[in-house]
Amino acid sequence: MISRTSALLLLALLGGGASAAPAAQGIDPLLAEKWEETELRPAPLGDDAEFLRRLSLDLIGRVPTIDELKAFLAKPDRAAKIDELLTRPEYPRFWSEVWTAMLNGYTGAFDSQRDALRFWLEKSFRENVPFDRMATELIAASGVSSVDGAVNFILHNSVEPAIKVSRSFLGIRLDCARCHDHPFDRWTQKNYDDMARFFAPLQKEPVSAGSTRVRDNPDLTGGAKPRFLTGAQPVTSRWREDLAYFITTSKPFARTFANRLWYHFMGRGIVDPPDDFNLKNKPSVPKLLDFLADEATARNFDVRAMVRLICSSDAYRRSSRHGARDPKAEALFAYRVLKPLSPEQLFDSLSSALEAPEFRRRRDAFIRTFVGRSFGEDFSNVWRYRESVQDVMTKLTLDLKAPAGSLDELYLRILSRAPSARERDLCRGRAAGDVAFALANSNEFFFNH
Amino acid sequence: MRLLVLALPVLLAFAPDELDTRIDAFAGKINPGGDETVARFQKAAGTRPGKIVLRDRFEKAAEELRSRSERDAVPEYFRTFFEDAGDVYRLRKGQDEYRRRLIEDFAGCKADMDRIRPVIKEVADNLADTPEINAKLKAYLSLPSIVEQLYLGDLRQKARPDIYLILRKLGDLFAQAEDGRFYIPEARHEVADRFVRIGRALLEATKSTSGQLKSACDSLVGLDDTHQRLKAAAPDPLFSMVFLKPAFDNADLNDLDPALQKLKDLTEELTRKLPEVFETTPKGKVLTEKACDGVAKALEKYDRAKYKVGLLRAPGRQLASRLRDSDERTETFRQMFQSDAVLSLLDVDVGGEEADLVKYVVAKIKQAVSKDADGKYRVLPEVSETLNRELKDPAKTAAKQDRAFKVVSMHGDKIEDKALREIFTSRYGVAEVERTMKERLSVRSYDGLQSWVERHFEAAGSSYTLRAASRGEIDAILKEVERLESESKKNDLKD
Repeated sequence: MISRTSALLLLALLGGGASAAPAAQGIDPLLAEKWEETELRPAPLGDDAEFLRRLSLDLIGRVPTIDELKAFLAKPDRAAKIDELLTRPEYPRFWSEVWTAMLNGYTGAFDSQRDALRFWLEKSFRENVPFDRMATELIAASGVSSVDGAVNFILHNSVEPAIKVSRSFLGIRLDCARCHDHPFDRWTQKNYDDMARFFAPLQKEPVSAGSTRVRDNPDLTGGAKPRFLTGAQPVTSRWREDLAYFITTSKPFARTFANRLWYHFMGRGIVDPPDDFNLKNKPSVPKLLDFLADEATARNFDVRAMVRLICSSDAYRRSSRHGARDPKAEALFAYRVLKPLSPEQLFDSLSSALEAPEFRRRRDAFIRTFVGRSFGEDFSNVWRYRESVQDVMTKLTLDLKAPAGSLDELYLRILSRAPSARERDLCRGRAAGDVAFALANSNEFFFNH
Repeated sequence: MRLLVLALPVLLAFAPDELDTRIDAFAGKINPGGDETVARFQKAAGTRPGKIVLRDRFEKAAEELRSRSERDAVPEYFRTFFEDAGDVYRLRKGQDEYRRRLIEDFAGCKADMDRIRPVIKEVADNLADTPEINAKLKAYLSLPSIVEQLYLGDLRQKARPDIYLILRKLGDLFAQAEDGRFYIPEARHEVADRFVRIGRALLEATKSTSGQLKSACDSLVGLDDTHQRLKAAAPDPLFSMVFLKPAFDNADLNDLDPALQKLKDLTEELTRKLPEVFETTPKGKVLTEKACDGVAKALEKYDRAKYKVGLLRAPGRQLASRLRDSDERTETFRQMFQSDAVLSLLDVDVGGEEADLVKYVVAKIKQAVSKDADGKYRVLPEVSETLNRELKDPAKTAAKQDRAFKVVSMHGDKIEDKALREIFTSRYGVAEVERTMKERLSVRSYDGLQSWVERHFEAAGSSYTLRAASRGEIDAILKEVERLESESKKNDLKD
């Protein structure tokens, strides 16, 4: 077994580049310790171009433009770049899309207004509202779905809000406990019933076409008082408000928040899946999870501060190039997991790489077609031709016009790197449009790596 | 009378942030005057559990105000428009326009109800007694106030639509501010912009098309009725819509490009085909024989559209004048609400193809009952179950409505003005009071914080001192805060 010092030395040699910000000290030593324990050799760090592509996709939802890439390569100040991207309007926009999909999926239910929720989230991320406050507003929201964006989370999930709230903010799945005691975890049906009663007063009233008022009606609170999973019971008559307080001051909330952010950036949770903390699904690096949860609490759930912490670590820069898939190394973040681009990332990356703003109008239709196969589709007419993701992409890229410039520029625009010698040979004599088509339909483009 | 169903989304409550800021401001002004309990309360108000407990108190105080307001809705209506002069209610000065509008609208509604009364009576009188659903429907349609119930509850909206009908068609795009005006919440800007795209494209297309139609028909000879009607209709953008509206059949608001492209195609097609419709004679242009039928059909569609848009024109203008903002987006909506072409696109159901109210009622009846050879009406088997559900307890519904009618009539009886007295001792009057107060209450906000503070604290200059009688309330709050803090200490799961 190599010593810890040797491992750190090895890491330093492999890493190179700018040093991590002081706050990241905790992440990398904790991972190094784990690798040493398990005799894992981490992948080297990625280069600056890879870092920028990764960061841009994770923070603003698209690949960097050629100008952004050139500017960064000329002055690769990673900390400054993280800060700069966090101030872009694209950051809250993209994060609101990610969180809307996480909270409410891609379809509407019970007249919930997906756009209004997304808009509320965008505003919250733009103003860097602490995450515990965002969660409180989402859990305890009252108001009208078209005006009060936060209310659409509870409205959308109003059939069994306890399940979605537990998954989203505590990383706990109570699904099984709805009908019987959980077979593998600690949760009993009584735990579920106690938790579900926090939402008993929830009342929905139609206000106008497609708009609903959500409020708590104290007349519906009959029966026993609810009880949170930690045992806490409400004190006021506004049970959801009390619940939001219990949740956001609890340790599972801090762990889930930290794990969820880690998952977003690393493509894998320290507890994975990130909404399934249970007795049999322990964290892969417990000390790291505790460290991140403590940091989140100490930083008052400041999302940007946590983004800086994670993105300035070497862990975030670890290369995705690795031999055969190794689940153990993946779980310990010894190399970067490949993340398929979301439909929003794909569309925006293509639109930006090819400088085709006219695409924008087709964005909604693209996303709907992209996710349509798996969400809310009617399979009663199975022989009807359905577009695959590949079809959708092909259709979108068929009528694209390749931007002017050299082969190198085309590669930089679409893949954020220059072509290899072999690729130059392959592309020789080909029309720019054909090359752009091939690159835009390549796996390399489809993944955040 | 409870007026719970609100007309439109409104901002009734203070946002959590704003309320917290107000709590801090209030706490900062409390003068404990050496009282330890008040000092503890002041400190607690600055904490999160303290704010949770206080917000709960304020919500309850706001609910009390809301209930009081709802209970007082009917007297408030009459206080607004009438002055109580002892024995009689006298119309307040400056309310002549209100009086004129009410009398005119009442006469129109009464005429509508008188037209449908015989239709309903004929069905009620001739409904078979068996099976049971027929008897049930018969009992319902024989209620003394059935025509008023049906008309004021649903049909009126179709015969005499108001702004809410247009707003409902637009989904939840607009919210209502406290001053009663309408605005587009920021969260809806994106969706609103899609409507704006349609509106702009449509205003432009109909302007250009009606210009072309007008020039093409300038020298049209008044050969017959079709020619004369065409010449009159040609400059009207609504006539252009007969040709352009199909562009929006099955249009998807999320993907407008195909619809807008189709609009462009139809506009170009019309330009291309227009010369083929006419032939020249020494006296001017006439329609070709081949074109006559098509033009006649288009004019029929135009007449139907004119009828429908005619109903929407007044509420459209009223809505345009009640838009709060004047940014580019809102201005486009203002233009759209005043455009016949755009209003025709809203496709508001004012009787479907049956533009006439009586025909509409007959068509609706035919969907539920059929007249058999013995001259008796019977409920169609396919609607029997739905109807049975809807007619769950007609007598109970009628009794509830009768109560509201009696309450309003008690006020109405006191009205000095004979015409207005007649209105407010009729079911129409009840609907008027309900509609007005619903709108008014829906935009009213209730300040629970202010109400609670006034009840428990005395304002002395710029500070607050606790009222002696409220010590118990403060003690109770502090206990709740302590309990909440103690409960929140259970903050982890037990392994």
